[in-house]
Amino acid sequence: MTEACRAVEKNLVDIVEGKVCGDRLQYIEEHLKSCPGCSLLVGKFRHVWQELGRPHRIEPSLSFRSGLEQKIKAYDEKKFCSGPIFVGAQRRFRPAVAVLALLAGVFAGYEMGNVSRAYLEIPAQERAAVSPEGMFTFQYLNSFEDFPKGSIADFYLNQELKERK
Amino acid sequence: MDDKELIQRVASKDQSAFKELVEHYQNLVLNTCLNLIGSREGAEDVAQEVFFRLYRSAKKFRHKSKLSTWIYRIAVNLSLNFIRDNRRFGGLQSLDPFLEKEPEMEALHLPSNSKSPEALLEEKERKKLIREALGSLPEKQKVAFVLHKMEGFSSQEIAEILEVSLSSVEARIHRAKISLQKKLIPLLKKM
Repeated sequence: MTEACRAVEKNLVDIVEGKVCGDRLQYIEEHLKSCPGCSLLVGKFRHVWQELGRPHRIEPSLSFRSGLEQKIKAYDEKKFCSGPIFVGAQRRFRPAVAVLALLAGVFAGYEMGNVSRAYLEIPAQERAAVSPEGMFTFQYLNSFEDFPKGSIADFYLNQELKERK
Repeated sequence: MDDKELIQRVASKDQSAFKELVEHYQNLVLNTCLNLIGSREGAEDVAQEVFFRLYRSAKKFRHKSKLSTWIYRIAVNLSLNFIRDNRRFGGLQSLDPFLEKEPEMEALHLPSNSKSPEALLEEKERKKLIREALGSLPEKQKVAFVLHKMEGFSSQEIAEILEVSLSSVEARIHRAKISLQKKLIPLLKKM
């Protein structure tokens, strides 16, 4: 490949767009007359470049409008059901609900931890004898420790303690 | 009806105004999407989404630019999103619009029976080359080049659509031309 061929390849876009002028244009034109390879290349490139400037054009298909109308209809119906007030309220209350859910989770975790602690307070020998239901009953009844003597809660607590003994 | 009045009526959910908007811009939007995406199905999906977004967000149009600029901006952004999403999920299995026979194409070009088989084959090869070369361009260069060369926008108009500077647009177009030139030369030599 000669220097002239390299110059043609380097300036192909400018050549086909007619942006080369003056001495440069003369130099390239002289070369194209004597170099069939470059002349062919410029011809092919010109065709491609012209093709690029005549892009493919299509018309919308029959389903284009109907598809769009369905989308719009679905959007309008959804918007009607969830009006701006409801949507606004949703946006505001969502963080509040998330915080409440988090607090509920923390509280539930704390309560479950309490049950576990109560279970650990039972002496090891007795622990094996306590079923999960029994453990919860024990936990529940323990909360009646401060009830007055002779009350129903005191009676049931004493019954439970006797059974354990 | 001028664009300002049209978009105001669309914002107030006037269906006849929206239909007029779609009638006026559907071909422009569809073909811009087609030139960026390269697939008829993808282009129609994106074009539908463009008009849906217009319907939904007409109130947000601030009239800082022309309505057509805004529409093209949405079309370009959604087309690029479509390309990225399809690249992520393993590419697009599309009918090549440059290769399939479209009845509209017969009106734009000479009827196929007037061309020799060799000429037709060469044309098909050329279109395949174009698709390959355009597909190899980086995104920003491709958008600027397609809008400039295929859609006929000026650099200033492209700068407004893409919300970048004029010099950025000109640089992208220039680099796209250089890239295409480099890509096409070896392919053309093989032909």
